[in-house]
Amino acid sequence: MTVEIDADDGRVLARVINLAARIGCTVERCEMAQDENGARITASFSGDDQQLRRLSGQLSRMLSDERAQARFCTV
Amino acid sequence: MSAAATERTGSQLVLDALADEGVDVVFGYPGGTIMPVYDALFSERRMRHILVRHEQGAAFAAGGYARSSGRVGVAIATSGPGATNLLTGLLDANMDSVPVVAITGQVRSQLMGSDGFQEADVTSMAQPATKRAYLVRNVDDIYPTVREAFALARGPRPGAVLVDIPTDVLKTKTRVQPEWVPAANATPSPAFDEGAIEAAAQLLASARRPLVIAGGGVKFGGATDSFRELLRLLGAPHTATINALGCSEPGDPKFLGMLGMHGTKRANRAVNACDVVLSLGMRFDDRVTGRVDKFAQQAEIVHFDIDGSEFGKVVDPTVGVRGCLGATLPALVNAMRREPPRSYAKWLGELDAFSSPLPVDRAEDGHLSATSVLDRFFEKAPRNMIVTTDVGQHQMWAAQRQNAEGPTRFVTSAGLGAMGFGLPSAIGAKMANPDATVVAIVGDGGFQMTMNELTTINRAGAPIKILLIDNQRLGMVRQWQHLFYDRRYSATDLSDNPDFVMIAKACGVPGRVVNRLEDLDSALDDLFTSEGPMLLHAACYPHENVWPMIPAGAALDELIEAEPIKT
Repeated sequence: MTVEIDADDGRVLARVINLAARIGCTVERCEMAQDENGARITASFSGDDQQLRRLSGQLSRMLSDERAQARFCTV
Repeated sequence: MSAAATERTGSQLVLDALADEGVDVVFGYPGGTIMPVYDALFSERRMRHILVRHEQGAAFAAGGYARSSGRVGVAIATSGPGATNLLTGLLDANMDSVPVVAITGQVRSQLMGSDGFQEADVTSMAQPATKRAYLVRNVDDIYPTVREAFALARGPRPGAVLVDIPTDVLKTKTRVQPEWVPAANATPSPAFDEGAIEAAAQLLASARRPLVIAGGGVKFGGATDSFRELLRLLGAPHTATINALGCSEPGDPKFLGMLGMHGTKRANRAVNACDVVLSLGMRFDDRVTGRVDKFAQQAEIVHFDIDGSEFGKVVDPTVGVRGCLGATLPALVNAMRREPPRSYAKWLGELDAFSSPLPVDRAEDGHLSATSVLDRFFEKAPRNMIVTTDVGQHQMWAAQRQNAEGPTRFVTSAGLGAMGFGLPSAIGAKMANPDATVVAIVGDGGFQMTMNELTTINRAGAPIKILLIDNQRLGMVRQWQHLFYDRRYSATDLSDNPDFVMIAKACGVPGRVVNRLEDLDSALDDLFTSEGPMLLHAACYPHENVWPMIPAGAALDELIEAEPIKT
């Protein structure tokens, strides 16, 4: 599962990684570029179906609270 | 907008934002970096400040205020230890979807990252405990950020939000006109899917053994009236998680009691015998579902929730309806009106077979049992009562027996199960509901975590009643040791408890001890009729357990009804 995130606040990245670790997913790739307009994060995760589903749900909730835009892609 | 375009400090802008949000009371504790806000509070007339004796008390009080009123609770603390002391209360509110905003001071901007005195990276710590943790670095961002924090705390799914402001930013003056426009990407309440409502209605109409489960979303979605209307229309049996107690019509015979680990046999058996579950604003907590692969495995599940991430998180619904229950439940009611009425007499009769009085351990002769105290307490309690509880055995006994007439009248720390919640949350509930009788039911363990707030009660002149169920044990832990740890009672003996009545009196709160059944009525009369605050210390038998009980991880039909007292 890959997620692209546009966030006002680059600290969102810490939440994304902490969530993935808590759920037991592996962070396969993680990149962030930040400028005065905000941060763009691209992260890919692996895990079983239940883990990825839980991560997707928790990320959706967290990113809506952070008012960040996210695009999920499941390969 | 109450703020003028005159020069304002950051601290004054904090209070302007609170006032413009309609805040009438804040709970807090001063300290170094938040002093500019306290200086502004000194001459503030738009809101009352309640000085607590520990910042955790402020967070719990803000939660009690919000839970009992539906309005946003506010807690204020300084940086470092002040801010970290708030965190348990913020997580408690967030887990139960309770709207709370915390304002914390931070070390001055230039010191941040230098391990300054009372510096803590509280925004990082608060991120997983809140919906969002803001760090405000510019005075002109204070007003809109605090306003946004309130909007976010309110919903769509309510929760806790923290705003951390360096002390130099609080002291900075600005002439910029404060204004706030909701962000373009602010999360709106989702529009619900009419097709999903129809699918839910059809599934419900086809059910022969439907069961409705209310969760906290019914209360926080402002959907209690629609929920009751749906139940009248549907005529189906219903149960509730602990956060939804009081949502059903008082005395409704189709209410099966609370669901879950210490829920009724009837409610738990209904889950495993129904053919359709309508779950409303609940998140399928493990204390509710028990072993999840055995939960309602024969039933189709219709799940209504404001938060789409709840669908399939624990239980896969057949139909998921996303939206605020305040909007989706009236739509479901309308859809159900188009369906022919059904009778569930046979199904209700089957459930009646599981109906039984709450099983209790009875204390040995001459001792007072906690369950007899609480039975009598709820029989004698005034109708306008708001109960707050702490966490543990007394919480479950109270939840089993409560007779709240409204959804905001039973206030408890459900998801987090935070001991120490009972007393400070009662302070918040009383501030939000000055005309209500507010009673904190606490155990001796939790009470000792926050009994410093007795002084807050006295100072605030709040006539809060405290019923202390003292079994000289950490009773719930002891119960698990008794049942699952071969009766090895490690660190659960509190027989060296202090004299609680003396402590209360020292804090300006009158107290009385009751330890015999024949004195219970007069003691409860004292509690309910005394004009000011009062502590009633019920010295109870130490070995009473909470029944029924479903062991953690067991299926709902593996319920233990009771066992004889073994000391």
